[in-house]
Amino acid sequence: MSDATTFEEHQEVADRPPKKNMHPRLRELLFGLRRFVSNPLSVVGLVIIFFFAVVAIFAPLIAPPKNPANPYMMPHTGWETTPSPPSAAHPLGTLQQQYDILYGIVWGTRSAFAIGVAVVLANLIVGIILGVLAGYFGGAFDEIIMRITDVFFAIPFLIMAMALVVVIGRGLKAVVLVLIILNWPQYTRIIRSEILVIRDREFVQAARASGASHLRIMFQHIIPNSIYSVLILASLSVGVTVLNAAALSFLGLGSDTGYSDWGQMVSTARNWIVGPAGARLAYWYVVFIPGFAIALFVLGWNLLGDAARDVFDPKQRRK
Amino acid sequence: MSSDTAVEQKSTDIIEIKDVKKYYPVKAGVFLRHVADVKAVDSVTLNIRRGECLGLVGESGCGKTTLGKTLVRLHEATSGRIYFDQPHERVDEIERMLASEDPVQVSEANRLRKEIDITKLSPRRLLALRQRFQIVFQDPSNSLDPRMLVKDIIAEPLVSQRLLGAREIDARVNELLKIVGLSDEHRVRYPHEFSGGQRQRIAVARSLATNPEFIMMDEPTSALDVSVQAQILNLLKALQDEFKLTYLFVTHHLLVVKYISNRIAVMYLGKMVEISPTQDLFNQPIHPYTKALLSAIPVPDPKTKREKIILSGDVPNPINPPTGCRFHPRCAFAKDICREVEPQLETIGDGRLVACHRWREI
Amino acid sequence: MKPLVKTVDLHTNFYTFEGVVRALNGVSIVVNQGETYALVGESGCGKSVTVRSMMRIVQNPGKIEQGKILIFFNEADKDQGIDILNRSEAFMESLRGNDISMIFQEASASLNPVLSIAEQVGESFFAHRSGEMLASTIGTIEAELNEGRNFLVRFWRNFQLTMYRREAADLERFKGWMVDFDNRLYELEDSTEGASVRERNRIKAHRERYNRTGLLIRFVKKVPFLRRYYGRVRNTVKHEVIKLLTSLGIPNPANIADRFPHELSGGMQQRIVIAMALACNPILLIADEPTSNLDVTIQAQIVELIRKLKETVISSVLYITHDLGLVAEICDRVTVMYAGDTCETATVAEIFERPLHPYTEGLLKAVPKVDQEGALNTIPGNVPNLVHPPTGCRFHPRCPKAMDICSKQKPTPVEYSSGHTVSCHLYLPKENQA
Repeated sequence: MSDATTFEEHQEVADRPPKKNMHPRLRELLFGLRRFVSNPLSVVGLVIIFFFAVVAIFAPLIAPPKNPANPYMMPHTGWETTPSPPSAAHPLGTLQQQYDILYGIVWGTRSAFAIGVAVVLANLIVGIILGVLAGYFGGAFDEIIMRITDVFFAIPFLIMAMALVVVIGRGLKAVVLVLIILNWPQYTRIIRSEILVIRDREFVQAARASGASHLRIMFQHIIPNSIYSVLILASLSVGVTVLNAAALSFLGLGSDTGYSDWGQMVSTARNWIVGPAGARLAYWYVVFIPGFAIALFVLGWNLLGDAARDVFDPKQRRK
Repeated sequence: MSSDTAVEQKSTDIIEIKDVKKYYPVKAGVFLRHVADVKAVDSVTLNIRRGECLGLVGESGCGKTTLGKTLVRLHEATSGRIYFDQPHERVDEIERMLASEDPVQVSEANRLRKEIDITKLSPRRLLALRQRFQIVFQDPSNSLDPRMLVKDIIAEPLVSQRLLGAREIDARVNELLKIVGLSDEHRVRYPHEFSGGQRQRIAVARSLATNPEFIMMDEPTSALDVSVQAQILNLLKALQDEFKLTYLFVTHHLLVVKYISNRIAVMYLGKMVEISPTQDLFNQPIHPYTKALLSAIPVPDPKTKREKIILSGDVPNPINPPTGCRFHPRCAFAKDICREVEPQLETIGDGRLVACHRWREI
Repeated sequence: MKPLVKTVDLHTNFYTFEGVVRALNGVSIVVNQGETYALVGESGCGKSVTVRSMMRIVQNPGKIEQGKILIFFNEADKDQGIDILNRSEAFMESLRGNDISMIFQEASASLNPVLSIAEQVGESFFAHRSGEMLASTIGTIEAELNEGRNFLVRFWRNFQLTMYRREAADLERFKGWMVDFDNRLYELEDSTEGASVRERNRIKAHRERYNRTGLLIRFVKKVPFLRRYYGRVRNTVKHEVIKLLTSLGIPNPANIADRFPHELSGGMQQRIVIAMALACNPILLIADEPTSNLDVTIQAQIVELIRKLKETVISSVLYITHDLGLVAEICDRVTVMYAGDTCETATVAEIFERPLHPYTEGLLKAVPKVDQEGALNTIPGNVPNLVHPPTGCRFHPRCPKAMDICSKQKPTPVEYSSGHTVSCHLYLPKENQA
């Protein structure tokens, strides 16, 4: 019966000898890893991201730049406006003006990582600092921060982003800056609500009774106990950030034509989504390949984020 | 209060609580206007003698934990004075100055309070004093940081107060673990790897780290099982003897408090109703509330069938406590005077105090 | 004494990520008719899991692995009992809240914060006694039928009457179907033959599609204005609720009925939960630590209330508690549990006088008493982790009287004296120990 097999399986896990003499931090880590690998989807996510990371790291080897001083500019071999299909010279074909798609995808991986990581890291720093201050001290400061976040939540994201990019001046840097400006309220909100719970736990009172300073309480007790929910959010939002950046690029607010950025590539391919009558799908590669890269990248981070939730979520952890 | 009590108290008091109030404001409306107060602790005066275990009992919401946490200044008192280890004469002097009409004397008294009154101490003086009093919480699974190792949890007071060097702290942690009946091998583990009783031992070890004189015990055994509760109670008793500790033992479990305390203070709705040596209280409770409380304890012995006093109704809302004696709506002996005049704690001999208008008659 | 509910060698496991928690290790208990019975033990000893298994409401990832749960409710099965582990879920639904009611420790968690007290308690009436409620509503309307002077009023009352009669008929029919399905399922329960398994699954799937009420009623209940006809039965139920609250000695019941749970004190909330449990006159009331979160004076009130109800309404009460004081005061018979094992069963007087099992003995000595002298006795060690339970007798690592055999073999229950059963190698005949 099926019951018996589950019992046996569980038996096996349970009877595995508990590792003695191992440092508990290591044991916790192993426990987390075991949870992580027990979920096939999270492994798929890890493999996807690992693949992109390898591509990003070895970009100069996979697609050697023609102009090492400015490797992010895609090389183009002519001014022919019609894209050309995959061939020996261009394994994934070319965009209009004969920009090499393979080159763009490879170096675009670097751009994607740079955008995602820069935005998320900056958001984490800003969000955590403001969230911790608001949550821990409360009062007027909390009130002001929360009302500011309300304002951010009240305005439609894309419209606000477009307006800001136009104000700052278009370009990839502007896109990154705008995403940082628009995303921190989420992090602040989440960490604040987490801290409101932790703040009233008795171990924080115990620390106060031991004479611990505010700084010590924050760094030793409150942040380590509340950080995980934002880390989960962070890993989930790397993908979303890249997607948003691509959307802004597609609207023509991102980098210039020819820059290795997936969103920009899709934007360039806009005119070729539908082919001439009789061969509607003639230029499939110009949209499909960069679009697929974006989708795969986002999927990888989302899977990884879900896995992070499985591993970190205190509700799923043992007591 | 009469001079009788003053003679008894001498200078053996480690803590003198004078007229302490703790109100929580209730705010309502869009602008969070202050509409009322929850009178959690309302004018409590109490002395804790050096070396004793004072049991503080009462039902949930009567303010016993609030009072205890105010003592170690985890809560800020709304008003009142708490003197820690001060000569009795000095306390009397300040109290007299505060009571006087002369504004100069009052301000002088307030200046002095900043140096010795726990409710008014400056952060620096408070930190220095924190070595001498500590607290143990009710639920050890909540009072130990789940992401810290046992050795760091126990060392926390020493680290926070910068009392010892790293190597000395290590040695002290080992010593403390041994004192509470754990061993070196438990040092590098997380709290969740321990059972409830062991966790409470860790919490006790932490509270002992700075060699305090006074520990406030906030229901330390109510989250534990019976067999483990006995272990912890015995441990606490042994520690008290060994380190000459003074306990304020807050609990709602009367048999536990009987086992561990020398003296018991009974609270009802933010007020002291009776303070008495343990044996006397159990042999002959005086306040009607104490009587009802004692008769309601389930006794683990099927042979004793006692007449139960079953109180009617619930504990009233502390936002709007009854006038006069706060117990009168549930009291079988209530008369007009109980409804109108608030009874004060009065000494009735043998170190017993009771706040009841009719204690002589009932 | 006649048994009312009986468990035989019950094993329940929880399949957690950490491994299999063997929560119950062969629990056999008997609750007799007309007694107050207690399950005592420390947290994690399996007392709650036992009663949850008895009502078949073990939460995921728990599973009843083996054993029997026999009930002796009907005259027909007085001797044999029905093994409810073999009965369908519909049968259990008719049992739970109807014949067996349960109250939990956390009263506030058992109450829905957005429903008023009248609605909460009324739910139990609607769920289990809707037939009665409809009948009584029909009665009142019939009595008023000719009073109406106005044509519209008369029309409205006739409409109400039609609807209620219709609903009552629907309900009867539904009950008939369910009984048929259930009997059919019971017949097919043990068979493993392909055709009957398919038939069984078909019935199970089929059964879920049925509704208590017919299409017309369900339609009318969604039509604005027309659906107001239903108010009459609500009034009837509310009336019943107030009657019930009054009978529980709740002061000012009409006022309480309109309030919401958060407006009531903990003691009052627990009384409301008891009212909900009593709505259908249960035969057995299971009280899972009903007073552990309450103050002693309120606990005394609640315990007194349950004691009175036991005398008048309910046949048997099963208490789960860790408070030996409570057991001594209100129970007739008690079973002491430890780590999923039953240690000892006896009358309360007997167990306090002559505890046989070393665990019972230790537990009794560990409780502070009124006339406590000297230090409290303690049981060394901690409750074991049930993923890796100790072999043999699960208490042996903490037992002061442990022998070699204790770690090897699980002791079988032995009747030491009449009505006093103990599972300990100390009391087993010597030849069995070899």
